[in-house]
Amino acid sequence: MIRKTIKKEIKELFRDGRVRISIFIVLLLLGVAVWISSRQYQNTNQDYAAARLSEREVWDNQGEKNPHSAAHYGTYAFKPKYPLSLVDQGVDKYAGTSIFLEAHKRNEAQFSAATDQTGLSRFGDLTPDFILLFIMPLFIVLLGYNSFTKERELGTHSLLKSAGARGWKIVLGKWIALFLPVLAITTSLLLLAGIVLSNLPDYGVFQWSSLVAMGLVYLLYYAVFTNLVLWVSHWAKRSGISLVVSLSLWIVACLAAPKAASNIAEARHPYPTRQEFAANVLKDKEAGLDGHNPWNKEAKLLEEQVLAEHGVDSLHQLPFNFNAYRMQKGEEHEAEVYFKQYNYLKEQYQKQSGTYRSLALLSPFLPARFLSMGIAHTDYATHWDFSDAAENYRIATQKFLNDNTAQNTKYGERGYKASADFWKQLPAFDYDPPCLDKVLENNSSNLMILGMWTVLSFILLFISTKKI
Amino acid sequence: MIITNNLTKKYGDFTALDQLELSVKEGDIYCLLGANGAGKTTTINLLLGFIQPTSGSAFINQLKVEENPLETKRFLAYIPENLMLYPSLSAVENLDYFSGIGGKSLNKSQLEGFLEEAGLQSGAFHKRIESFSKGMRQKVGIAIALAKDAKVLLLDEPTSGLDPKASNEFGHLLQKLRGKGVATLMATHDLFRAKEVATHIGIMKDGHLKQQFVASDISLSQLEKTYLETMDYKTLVS
Amino acid sequence: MYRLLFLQFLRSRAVLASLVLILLLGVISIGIGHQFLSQKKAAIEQVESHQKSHIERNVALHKDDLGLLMYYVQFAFVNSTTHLAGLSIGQSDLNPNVQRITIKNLEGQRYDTDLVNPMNLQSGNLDLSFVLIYLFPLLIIVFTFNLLSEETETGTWRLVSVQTSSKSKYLLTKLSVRVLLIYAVLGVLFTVAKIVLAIPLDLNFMMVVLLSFLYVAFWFALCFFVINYKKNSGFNALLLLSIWLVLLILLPAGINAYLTNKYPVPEALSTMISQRDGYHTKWDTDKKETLQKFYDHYPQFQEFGYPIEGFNWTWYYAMQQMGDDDSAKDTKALRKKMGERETASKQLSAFLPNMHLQLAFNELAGTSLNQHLSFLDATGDFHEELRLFFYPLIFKEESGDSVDWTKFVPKYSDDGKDDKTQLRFMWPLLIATFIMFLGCIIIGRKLH
Repeated sequence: MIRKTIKKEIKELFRDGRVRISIFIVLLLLGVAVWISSRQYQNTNQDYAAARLSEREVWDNQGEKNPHSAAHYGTYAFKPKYPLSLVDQGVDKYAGTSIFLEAHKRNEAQFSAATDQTGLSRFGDLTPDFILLFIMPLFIVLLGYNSFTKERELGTHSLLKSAGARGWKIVLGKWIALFLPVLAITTSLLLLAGIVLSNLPDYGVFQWSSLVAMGLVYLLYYAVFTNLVLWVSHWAKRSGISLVVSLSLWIVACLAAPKAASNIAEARHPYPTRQEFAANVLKDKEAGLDGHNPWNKEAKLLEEQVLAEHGVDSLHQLPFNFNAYRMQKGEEHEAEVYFKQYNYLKEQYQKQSGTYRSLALLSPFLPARFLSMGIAHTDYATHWDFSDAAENYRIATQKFLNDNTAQNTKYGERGYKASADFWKQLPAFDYDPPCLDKVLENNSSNLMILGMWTVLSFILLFISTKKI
Repeated sequence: MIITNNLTKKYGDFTALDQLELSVKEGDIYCLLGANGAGKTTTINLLLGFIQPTSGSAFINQLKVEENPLETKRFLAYIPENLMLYPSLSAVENLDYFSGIGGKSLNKSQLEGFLEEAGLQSGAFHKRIESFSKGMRQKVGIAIALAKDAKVLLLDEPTSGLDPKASNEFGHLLQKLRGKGVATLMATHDLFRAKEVATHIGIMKDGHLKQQFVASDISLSQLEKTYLETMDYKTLVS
Repeated sequence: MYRLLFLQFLRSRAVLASLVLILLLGVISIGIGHQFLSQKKAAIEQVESHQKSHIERNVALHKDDLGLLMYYVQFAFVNSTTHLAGLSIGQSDLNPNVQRITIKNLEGQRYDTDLVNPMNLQSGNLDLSFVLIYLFPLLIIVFTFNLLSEETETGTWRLVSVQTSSKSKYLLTKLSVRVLLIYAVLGVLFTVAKIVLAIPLDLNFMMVVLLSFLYVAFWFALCFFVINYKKNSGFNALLLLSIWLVLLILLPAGINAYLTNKYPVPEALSTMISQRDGYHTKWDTDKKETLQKFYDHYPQFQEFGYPIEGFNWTWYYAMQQMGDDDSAKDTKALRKKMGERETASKQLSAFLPNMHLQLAFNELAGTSLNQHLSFLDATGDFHEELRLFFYPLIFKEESGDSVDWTKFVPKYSDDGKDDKTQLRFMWPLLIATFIMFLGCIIIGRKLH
């Protein structure tokens, strides 16, 4: 009987011109989106590989140079592109993808494509995640809004009731029939993406398990919408009303709630302005040791301390170059300052994420969005992880360079140059994003909220439709 | 097959049906006559379990409708005044679906057999319902009843809007079902058709069953006279 | 009859629910605008007090060495946020409205964006412009899609067509009920916005209101055009929603993709790497050469000669200046490209009322890319002014006490935005609306 209902609903759907057209449009859009993204990503990837290579080459071939000069010259940390960013490009567009690593200073990732765009960029992009997150729910609304109201309007409702079928069986049949096309489209898209990805040579490590996890997240998300749309269709008396209500749900969940969440998060836990942040950093820096300045109070203190430690009374007697040592100590102090200030930033970000999560109770869109980006390694959490890794690498690099000077020169010696083959000894920056298990663990609250949405909407649907 | 005891339905102060006592046995065709608002459709809806009685009870095949809403539906078939089917599905597909949700799985030749038995011309079996006339749709409705092997058939104004030929055909179909022992309850305005097909006739007014006859005991003109008298139309006629 | 039409319309639960929803979202969006403005305001207030203490502290520390002092001292340059920005936040959530610059190399200082959670950028802002551009059309669709078809479906149309002398007049009357309601909602929201955000009643605000009214008129005309075809409710709803989807989601996304590809801003990483080389070679460039280039730019400072022994501030600032001079060409090219992108955006968006409206709102509110670029230019001028004031003092090795620091309060950029040319924004919308009206009249004739 459930099978009969599914068969009948599917037949009805496919004999309906508007449904055929919508399916065609969705498929076309997905195709275009995948095509555009894969082209764009291939280009970016080539750029990256080239930049990365040439950047390292420049570093390796600096020739004879003072290590601190090289520290100012700096290196770059590149955020790798991950395979699933083809499906969900997340915040990459806004967060920047490379960080300049130099002495004394922690930099933000730069070259976020969003900064130099006009107001039009806020209208969104034609990417697979856009279609998966926005258009597919809309598709469910358009396919399902009259699932029950149609029966009332056609008059088949009373016949259906007199047939003595159990309500939940009819509902389940309708549910599956509505979900099947969605399932088919999603699966074929992800399969297509999987095949494309496993055939791209420069696409990093591609894991089917991540793709499957992502697919499951989307299917849960669609299940929630399917439940809600069917529930509304059952509750509403007329198709027009059902459409309007379902559409309002879509607007609130997919358009309004995320935007409101962003504004509320920023209002409740504001980031400092760039200027304020820089001023705080400067203030803290000035309170401590400046590696370039031997005359400040902290430098004198350090001098006395080191002399006492080694039991000598002149800096010249130390087994290492005190200038370079001081430079390193200054570097460490600065790193601490940045650590403190960035931790504050991170706290604000975590609080903002908390706001997003609490608003996720109003919108299944938010947990789905977070999970999808997380799995694709394009979320803000991964960006933080990357930027922390880059900072650690920067600190290690500074130590590597300062130590070289400290070991190879005497106090007061100027114009030291490290040998030309020294630079190659610095290990290359290597970043591994958190693995799938870790991502899911970090996003467990999002998983829970999405799961809760799914369960509650199922209960709502099946309780309210006990009597059809 | 169909029994009502003291069946009453009130909407606030308004009494739609008042202490109805009715019994329709196997092989009976009981026609309920009456003006709009007399309580005919209320009776049918109560028998279907679409609405709950205020007091009294209705039984289908000795099962109380109120307590066994799903079980009683297993024995009955229903054709509303304007029988609507899924327009984008064909006659066979509609029949397949409706008998399917009733719990029966039939193969193609069985389905076609029922449609043929219901008198639908074979050329229309695989046409979509959207092109069907009301008479054709009702034949599909009868086919649904046949396929279900229903013991009880509830009809609400089945002949309104049918042309005389279709109406006549419909009468014959009912006789055929009667031969199979189906108990039929039919609400109608159509005195002529009622006299022709019914075994029993009841006249309702303001929620009361005013008169009952065995159809063969009364002529059409007597029926008409009694009907008008019951309706208080005397002054108009005389 | 008018009263009855109103009653009939307002008795629908769906209508009431959607009215409540849009009013609620509208009020929330205004609240968000208010929050945004107060944050910006707080940032500016902070600048005022910070600048004073910052200068005092640094002067106390380094007054003997003006060159070193100027290495540290930052001067604030403020882009005053208009109250309208609360309605249309545009790009200003990303672009800082306060620049604090030293007289050193300019290029490295002025492009910093604000610290923002990229998640927030991705979601965008729920400002009134969003409610207007995205949600009002949906409300209009909801209000009109069954204007005619509900009558044919419930069977009242035949009765109506017998009773009324002019069917289109009847439909227009019905439509006007909805138009009045939507305009009332719009009026309420603008009044609330005006009061809450303290927007002055100037030409820009009038323009925003006028454009919004035109935009609503455009959608009504479009909906009326579609429903006149006498299709059933389901078809109308679907067609109108598809139009909404195409106009508001798909075409903008497509145009965006096109523009980004057509006018790529040179963000190629190789350029970035070569720029790093450029900066660092300055340190190693021959000092005399550096100073020579500096005096070519500023002949008036030639009297300070060519001190090349050891570290001295004349050479240091000359080197900083050289960095700017060298990148001037690149900066110009980049600016040109961004300008082209903005122009192309504007031209393309003239064909899409919603995109046009968004850009016009941003421009009127002073939150567009263009205005940010001119703020950057103004920052450049401000920077130049500071340089010309401090260069001779530094080169003369004056003491920090010789400068009257009290006059260095934060400076505000002022661009007279209140000009009549804003009226041009009206034309594309006016034309689009006019075309839709024309279509309605032509098709409306068939109703008789």
